[in-house]
Amino acid sequence: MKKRGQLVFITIIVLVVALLVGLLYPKIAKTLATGDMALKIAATRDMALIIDAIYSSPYDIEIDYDYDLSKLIVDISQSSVKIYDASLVSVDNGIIQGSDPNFAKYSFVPVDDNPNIILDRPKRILFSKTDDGLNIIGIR
Amino acid sequence: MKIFNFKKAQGVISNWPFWIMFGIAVAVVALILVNIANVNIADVSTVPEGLEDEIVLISRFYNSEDCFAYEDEMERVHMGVIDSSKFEENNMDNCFSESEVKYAYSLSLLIPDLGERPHHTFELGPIKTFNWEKGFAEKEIIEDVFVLHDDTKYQGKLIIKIKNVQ
Repeated sequence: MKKRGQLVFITIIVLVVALLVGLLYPKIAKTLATGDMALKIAATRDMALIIDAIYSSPYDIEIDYDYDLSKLIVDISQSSVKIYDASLVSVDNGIIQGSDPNFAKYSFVPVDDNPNIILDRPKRILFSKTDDGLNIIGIR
Repeated sequence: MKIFNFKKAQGVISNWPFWIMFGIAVAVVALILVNIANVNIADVSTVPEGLEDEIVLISRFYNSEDCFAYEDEMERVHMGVIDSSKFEENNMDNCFSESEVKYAYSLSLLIPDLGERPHHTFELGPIKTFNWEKGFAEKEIIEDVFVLHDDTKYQGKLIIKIKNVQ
């Protein structure tokens, strides 16, 4: 059986740890929810839906995706948008080198087309559709 | 009461099984917190129900000239007007290319009255996307459209069945 002084000490440690966890939780949640992982997932879905919407339009259309993705690499190919962390992969002669185990991916459905585009750390992305088809440009 | 009785507390500090258990408990709590936060991230970035399958993807069927929308001699595309001569499985393959998309579609076109035979419903289809499998559809959407058939425009209905394939 523990002495009273020992139990008080344990209680204080547990309270301090609980307080630290309680205070840190919003910070941890904010870091994860606003971090690169969340940005990767949200941006892949945004872009896949934008591409689907552009394919549905019969008219010329231009969309400015003004969201800073300068820490990421965007690969639009094989009917999907994939986003990698630029600190883990690089683009060499239009080929992605390295691997990001936590890359994000979301599929879209092309209309009689097969886009194959890599955007290296874009600060903005311009999507457009003309008679020549879909065009996606990354601005650094 | 002397709370900070370090002599008595020393017994606990030197009690290494306590610290092992304490470390495990902290690690478990940390893992739970990270998992909860990750679930929250997935929730935040979820595409709203119906946005992708009912709005973004299906509009191509009646708005895009590469699908079934009518395109006149001046190359103007008439949104919401379906050219019955285009309503074929071949066009569906171009319109809805193969991908890992989560949704499959089956389309039927109904023209309630063609004029010649009142109250007789003329039906085209169903035509299906590459990933459609046998079984019941989870959703059915009926879109009011115009149908160009033999150079005449009729009011019709596009019946779109949707299945989640993932």
